[in-house]
Amino acid sequence: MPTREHVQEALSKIKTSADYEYFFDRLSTPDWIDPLRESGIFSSPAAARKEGGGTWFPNWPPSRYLVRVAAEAPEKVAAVIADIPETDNVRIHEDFVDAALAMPAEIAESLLQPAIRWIESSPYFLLPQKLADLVVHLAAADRVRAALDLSRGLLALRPEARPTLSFDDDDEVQYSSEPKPLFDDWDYQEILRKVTPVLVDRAGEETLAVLVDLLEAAVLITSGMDERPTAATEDLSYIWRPAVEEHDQNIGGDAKNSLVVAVRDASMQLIESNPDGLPDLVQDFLRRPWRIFHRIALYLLEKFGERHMLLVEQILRDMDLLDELAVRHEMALLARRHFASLPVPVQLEIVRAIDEGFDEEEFRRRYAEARGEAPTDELVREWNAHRRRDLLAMIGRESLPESARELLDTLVAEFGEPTRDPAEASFSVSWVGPTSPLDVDALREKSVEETVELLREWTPSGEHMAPSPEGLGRVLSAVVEEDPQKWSTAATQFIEVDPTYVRGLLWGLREALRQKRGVNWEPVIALSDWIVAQPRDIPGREGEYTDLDPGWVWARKALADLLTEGFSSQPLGPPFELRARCWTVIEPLTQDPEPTSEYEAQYGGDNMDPATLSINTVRGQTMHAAIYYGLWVRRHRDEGPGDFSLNVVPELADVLNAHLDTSVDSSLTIRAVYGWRFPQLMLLDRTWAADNYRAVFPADQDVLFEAAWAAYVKFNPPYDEVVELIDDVYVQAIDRLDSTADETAPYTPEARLADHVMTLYWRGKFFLETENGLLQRLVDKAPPSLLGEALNFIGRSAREVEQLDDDLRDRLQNLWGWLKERKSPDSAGFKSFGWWFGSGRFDPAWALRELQWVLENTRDADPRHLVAEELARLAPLYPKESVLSLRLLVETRTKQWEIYGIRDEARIILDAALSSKDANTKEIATQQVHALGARGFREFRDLLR
Amino acid sequence: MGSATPPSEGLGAGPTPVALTGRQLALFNALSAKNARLGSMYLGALRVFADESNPDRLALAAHGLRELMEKMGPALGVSGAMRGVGMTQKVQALRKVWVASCEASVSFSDGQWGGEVIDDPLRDYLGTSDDLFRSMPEEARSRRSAAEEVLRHMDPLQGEMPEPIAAERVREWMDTWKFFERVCHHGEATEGQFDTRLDAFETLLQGYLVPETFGVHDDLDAIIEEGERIADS
Repeated sequence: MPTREHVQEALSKIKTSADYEYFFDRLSTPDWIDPLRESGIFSSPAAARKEGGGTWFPNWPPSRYLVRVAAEAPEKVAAVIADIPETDNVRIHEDFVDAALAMPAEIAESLLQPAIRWIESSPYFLLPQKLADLVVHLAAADRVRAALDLSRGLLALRPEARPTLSFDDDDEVQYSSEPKPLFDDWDYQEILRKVTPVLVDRAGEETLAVLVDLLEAAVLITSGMDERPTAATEDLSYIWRPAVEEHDQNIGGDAKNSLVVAVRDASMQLIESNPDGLPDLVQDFLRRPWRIFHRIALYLLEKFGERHMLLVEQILRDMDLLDELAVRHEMALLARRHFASLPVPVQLEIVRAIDEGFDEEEFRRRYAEARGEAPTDELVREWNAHRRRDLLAMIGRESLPESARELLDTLVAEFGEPTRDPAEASFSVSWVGPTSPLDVDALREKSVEETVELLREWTPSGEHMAPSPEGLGRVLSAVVEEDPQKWSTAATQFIEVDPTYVRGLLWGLREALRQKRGVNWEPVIALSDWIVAQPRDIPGREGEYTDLDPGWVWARKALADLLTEGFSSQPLGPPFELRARCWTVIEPLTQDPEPTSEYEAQYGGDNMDPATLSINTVRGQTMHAAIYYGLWVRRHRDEGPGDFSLNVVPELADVLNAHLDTSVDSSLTIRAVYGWRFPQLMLLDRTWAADNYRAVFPADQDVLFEAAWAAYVKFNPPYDEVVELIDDVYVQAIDRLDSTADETAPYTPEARLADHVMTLYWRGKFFLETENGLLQRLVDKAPPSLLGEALNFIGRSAREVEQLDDDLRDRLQNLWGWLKERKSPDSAGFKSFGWWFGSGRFDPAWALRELQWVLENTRDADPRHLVAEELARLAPLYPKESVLSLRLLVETRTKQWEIYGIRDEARIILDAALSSKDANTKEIATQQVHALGARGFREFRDLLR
Repeated sequence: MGSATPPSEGLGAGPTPVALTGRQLALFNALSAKNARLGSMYLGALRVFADESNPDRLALAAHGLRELMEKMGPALGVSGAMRGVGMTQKVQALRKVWVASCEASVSFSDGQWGGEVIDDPLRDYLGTSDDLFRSMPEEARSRRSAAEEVLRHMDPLQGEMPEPIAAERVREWMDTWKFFERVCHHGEATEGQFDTRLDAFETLLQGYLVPETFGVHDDLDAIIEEGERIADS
C-alpha cells in the first residue's frame, strides 16, 4: 500500500515540473489519494497566472490524477475535490468535471454547487461543454433536480450593453442591452442542443419551464423594460427571428435564437409524448406577453393541429391575431395547413369576418395621429381592400371556398398581387453580381451579326437583379476569348455599339492573346480608330450608376491593355505594316486626362502606389503600350542592338520627352512608368537614357524620385549596364533609407534594393573593400531588419542553385566575415544565417561554426526547421558540432511547439552524438536528452537505454 | 619615486586557472547558454574563490555569486528586480531625514536634540520612519515573490511544482542569497561554510539547468512500483 513515506520520498526526488507531471501521470491506483492528501498535495491548487498581459491557466498534475482514478474511487475523489480550496484555474475545474463525469451520478451530484460557482467564475475553454455533459450525465441517471439546477446556472444570461451610435449632428442612439451567455453564443447553442432532449425526456414540463423563463428573461433584456409587461407586447422577433421553423432567413445564432429553438423543440418533444397537452401549452404561450411565444404557439398548432381543430378554429377566428403583422408568417402557415379542413360554414364565417372586420375608425384615428392629416375616403377604401386581399392571400387561394376565391381574384384584378407572399418570412436578399440575358452557351450559338443586333437592340428592364448590360458584356468577353479570330475579323461591326459591349470585345481579345490565340489585327485597329474618336463621357450617364459604361473612357483603357498585350506578344502582335495606324491609336490615348491630379489624390496614396495606378488608368497604361510599341518597332527593324535609337521612332521620342517635362505632365503615375520601364528605355536608346535618367529619377524632387525608383526597383532585376549607368540613383536610394525602421517586409522597395545589391555582389560586381561602394553604404545605412532581408536573400538564392562554385562560395563567406567585423551581433539581422546554413551549400565545418556563433549571439536562426534538417544531415559526420547547435536551438526556444516541430531531427542528431566515440560529445548529448525530457518530451528516454 | 619591478610582482603570480568539476562545467555551459554574462559571473566567482592567494576571496566570490542570483531574473525575462532598493540605502536616507529634523526642531540646541516636543520636523521624521517600517514586510514579500518567479522561469517547462517543494526551494534560494549578501559585506564566514553554501546553490541550479530527468523518472518509477506492488499483494 502506498504510504506517506512513499510520497515524501517521491517529492524529494522531483527536480522539475516535468518530474512532477511524470509522477502523477504514472500513478495508477486510488490508493495514493490518502498519502497524497496527508502530504498536503491537494491543498494548493495551481492558480491562474497573469503574464505578459494575458492569463495562463497551468495544468495541475494532482487534478489530472483524480480524473484517472475517479471511476475506481468515486466517493474518495469527490471528497478530495470538495476539500480542495477554491481556485481561479479553469483547467482544474475542467478536471474536476471530468472526474465527476466518471463518477456515478449520485456521487457526482455532491459537486453541484461548486460546479455552478466554477462556471460563474471561469466560463472558459471546454468547461461549459463539459458541464453540459454533466447535465446529461445527471439527467440520464434521473438526478433531475440536480440536472435542472446545473442547467439554470450554466444557461444563465446577463445583459451586455451595446455601443452607442453617434451621428454627425451629435445625435446619439443608445440601444438596449443584449442578453449574453457566460460564454460564447456558439457554445450556448450547442449546449442547448445537447441538454434539451435528455432533460425533456426525464423532466419535460420542468425543463420547458426553465427554457421559457430563460427566453422571457432574454427578451426582457432586449426590450429595455424594467419588468415583464402584462399585455401583449411587440418584441421585434420578426426581425431577429423571421421564422420559428428553420429558415434561410434566420441568420442569428445568438442566445435568443438558440432559446427559441430550444423552447420550440422542447414543446414539440412534449407534445409528441403527450398530444393532449397541446391546448394547454398553446394557451399558456398565447397568454404570455411577448410575440415570440405567440408565434411558437401558432407554429405548434400548425404542426399538431389535426387533433385539435376546435382550437385551430378559435385561433383563425381571432381577428387580432389575423391582423397582427408580427405573427403573420406563422399565422399564414397555420391557415394554409388547416383552413381547408375547417367546416365550410366556419370558413365562410372567417372570410366574412375578414371582409367586414376592418376597423375604419381606428384606422382613421391612427392615420391622423401619424400623418397629422385625415386620410381621404379613397385611401381608406384602398387600405381596406389591400388588407382583405392580403389576408385572403395569406390563407391561400387553393384553401378558400369558391366565393372567397372570387373575392380575392377581384381584389387582385383591381389592386394587383400582394407585394410579397404573406407566408414568406421577412425580406432578405443577396447580390450575386450582374446577370446576362444570355449565358455563354446561348451566345456562342449566335453569329456575329445576330450578336451585334442583340447588343444594339436589347434593352435591360432596369429592375433590381434583372439581367444587365454589364452582365451581357462579361458573357461576350468569354465568348470572344474562345474564338478571337471570328470576333476580331468582324470587329468593325461593333462600330456604333454601346461602349459597355465594345469593352467586352476588347477584354475578350486581350485574354485570347494571353492564352496565345491569334487576333486579326487590321479590323481591330479600324475599330480602335473609331473608339479613340469617341467622347470620353456620354451625356446623361454621368454621376449615376446605370450599369452602362459612363462613356468611352473604360473602353479606352481596355484598348490600351489590348495594345500592350499585342506589342509584347510575339508572334501574335500586329503586323508591322500597321505601324502608322497603330500609332494613330496610341498617340491620342497618351493625352487622355486620366489620371488627373485629383484622381491620384483620390485613388493613390495608401490605396494604390503610382506603379499600380499606371496599369489602372488610361494614360498610364498607354505609356506602357507606347514603350512596348517602341520595342515592337525595334524587333521589326533588324538593326544591331547598338544601332537602334529613338531617332527611328521619333513619334515615341516626342511623347517620352513631352511627358518627362513636369510642366506638361507632373503625374506620379506616369513617372512610375518611366521608372518601371527604364531598362527597356535604355534598350531603345542608351544615349537618351544616359541623358535623361536624372530627369526620370530627379535628385531634388523626392516624390517623383520615389514614384520612379519604387517602380524601377520592384519590377526589374539589377541589370549590370543599368546599374552602372544609374549608380548615383542607387546611392541616393540607399541614403534615403530609414536606419531606424523596425521591420522590412519582403518585396518593398527597400527589400528589393537590398536584393539588388546582394545580387550584384553575388555576381562579383563589388569588392568588399571598395570605400563608399553600394555594398558598404547599404550595410552602414540599413536597419537590422533590412540587412536580415539581404542575408535572407542570399541564403535563399544559395539554396536554389545546385551548388556554389569555389569563387562564389569564398565570396559569400568573405561577405559574412566582413559583416561580422563591421556590425554588432544585434544590429545586422544575423539570425537570417539560418537560410545560409539550411542551404547546405557552404563548407560544413565553417557553416556549423558560424551557426553556433549566430545562436550564441542572436539566440535564434531563421528558419529553424531548415536549420534542424541540415543539422540532422550533418550529424553523422559532425556529431559534436551538431548536438551543440541543437542544444542552443532548444535552449533558446520558449514555446513547446517550436521544439515539437523539430523532434524528428533532434532524434537523429542525438542518436548520432550518443553513438560518438568522443566521451564529451556523448555527455553533451546525454544532457540534452535529459533537458528535452525536462521540457516534457519524454519520447527521447529510450535513447539512453 | 621609481620602482624596479612592476607593481604586480610580489603580490602573486597572476590569475590562477580554475579546475572546474564536471557539474561546474555543465552549469557554466548551461548558464552561458541562457546568457553569456551569467556564465561569466559564475566562472569569475569560482575563479576568485579558487585563488587562495587572494586574502579577500570569500567576500569577492560572494559578491559575484550574489550578483549572479540577482541578474538571473532579468536574464530569464522575469520582470521586477530580485532586490529593490537595499535596506542599507533606506536606513541611510532615513538618517538624513533624522539629522535635518533634529536641526529644524525647537528641541535642538547646542548640537543636541533634547526631545521635549514633538513638533512638525519631528513629525516628518516619524512619518518617514513609519513608511520604512511598514514597507519592510512588503519588501521581504517582493523579494520572495521575485525568487519564486526566478525559480519558476528556471524550470524548463515553467510549470507547477508541489507547494511543499516550491516553498522549500524559495526558502533555500533566499537563505543562499542572504548568505552571499552578508559575506560580500565582509560578514563572518569560514571557508567550509562558504563551500557548503556554494555546493547547495550549485545543487539547486543543477536540478533546473542540468536536469537528469530520466534518472529522476527511473527513481520515481521504482517508488511507484514499490508502493503499488504492496497494494497489489
